[in-house]
Amino acid sequence: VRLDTRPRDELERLYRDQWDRMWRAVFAFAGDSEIASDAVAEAFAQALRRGEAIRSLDRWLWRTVFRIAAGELKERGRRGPLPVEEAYEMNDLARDLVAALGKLSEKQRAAVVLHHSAGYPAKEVAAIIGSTTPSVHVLLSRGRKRLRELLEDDHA
Amino acid sequence: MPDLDDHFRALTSVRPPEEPPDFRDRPPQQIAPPPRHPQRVVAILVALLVAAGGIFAVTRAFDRGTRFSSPEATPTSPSGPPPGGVFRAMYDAVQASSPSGWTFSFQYGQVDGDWIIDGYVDDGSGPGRLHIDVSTQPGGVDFHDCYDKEPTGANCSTFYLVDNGGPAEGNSATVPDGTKTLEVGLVDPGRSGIVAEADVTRDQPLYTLDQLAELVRAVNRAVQDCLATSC
Repeated sequence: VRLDTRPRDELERLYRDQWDRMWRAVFAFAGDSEIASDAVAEAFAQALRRGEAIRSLDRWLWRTVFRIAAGELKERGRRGPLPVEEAYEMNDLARDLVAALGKLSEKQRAAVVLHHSAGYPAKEVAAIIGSTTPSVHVLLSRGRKRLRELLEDDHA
Repeated sequence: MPDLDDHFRALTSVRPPEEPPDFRDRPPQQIAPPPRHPQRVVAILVALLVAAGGIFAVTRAFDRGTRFSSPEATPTSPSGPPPGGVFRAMYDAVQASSPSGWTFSFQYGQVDGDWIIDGYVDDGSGPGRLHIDVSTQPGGVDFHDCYDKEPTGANCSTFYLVDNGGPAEGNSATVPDGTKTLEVGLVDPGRSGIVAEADVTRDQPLYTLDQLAELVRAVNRAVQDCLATSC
């Protein structure tokens, strides 16, 4: 059943406004440009089909886009974004970061990306990933620590 | 050597495709969720049984005050009274270390075996955030260094407190909007310990440096007593 009651214009505007930010965050999470593009588009397509059944659209979109990306990674039988897509153009700092992110747990990675790439405070990250603010603080703290270790190893 | 912020800044230079795919006429479920196999249904049923057993075990653990360890737990009582055991000991120590009349609104949760209290303390002039993380596992404490502060751009200073209550290390940070964070930790050589952070929800943290250090020591004593006596 198509519940097409949410104005398309609103979603289209959001899509245009959020595309860069959301794509980049999912790319960092998944390490794959194709997954990032498909996941963002699919999340908006699902939002369009659900219509006004979604109460907090922004939060729902972020939760859905990460769920789709994680599902696609599992579908491909991969634990994370390794190897980092060599073909996609980015500098070494970004490439090293995406590779290191791939070695974090899925939840750590989502928390770190939502906070540091998408710019959400810990409380909002908790709402998006279905956790608590204290848990997110720990996920962020340990995720950052692990990233530093991994990135220092890369530079050693 | 580039720091973590440099890496995240570099990420902003990664350009997405200029033409986003059209989502409007995308067929449903073009990206399928992970396939559901019959074994998965069985696994879910088994998981439900295990979860029911786990809830029973956790309840018993709390009743007896013994420590339980789960990878991640949701708050047992958001903004309510502490659930008991170590959380109760932590709460009582925080309350006893704070001036009378202050009110507390905390969430309680366990993450990777750590006991965490996070919430707000109100001295009558507005709430300020307080976060306490107790880890008895080696390597469990990641004492925030100043470069960890959010938002970035904070002015930081690190200090050490040594008195009869044992050594504590800490740092303070003033972020660009002028608000200030204090953090004090009792950290063992193996990186277990306690960290308390009075955060940036007000112009000044609720606790002075000495008060926060005393609070951390009180929480440490209470937790150690609790664990030793199976509170």
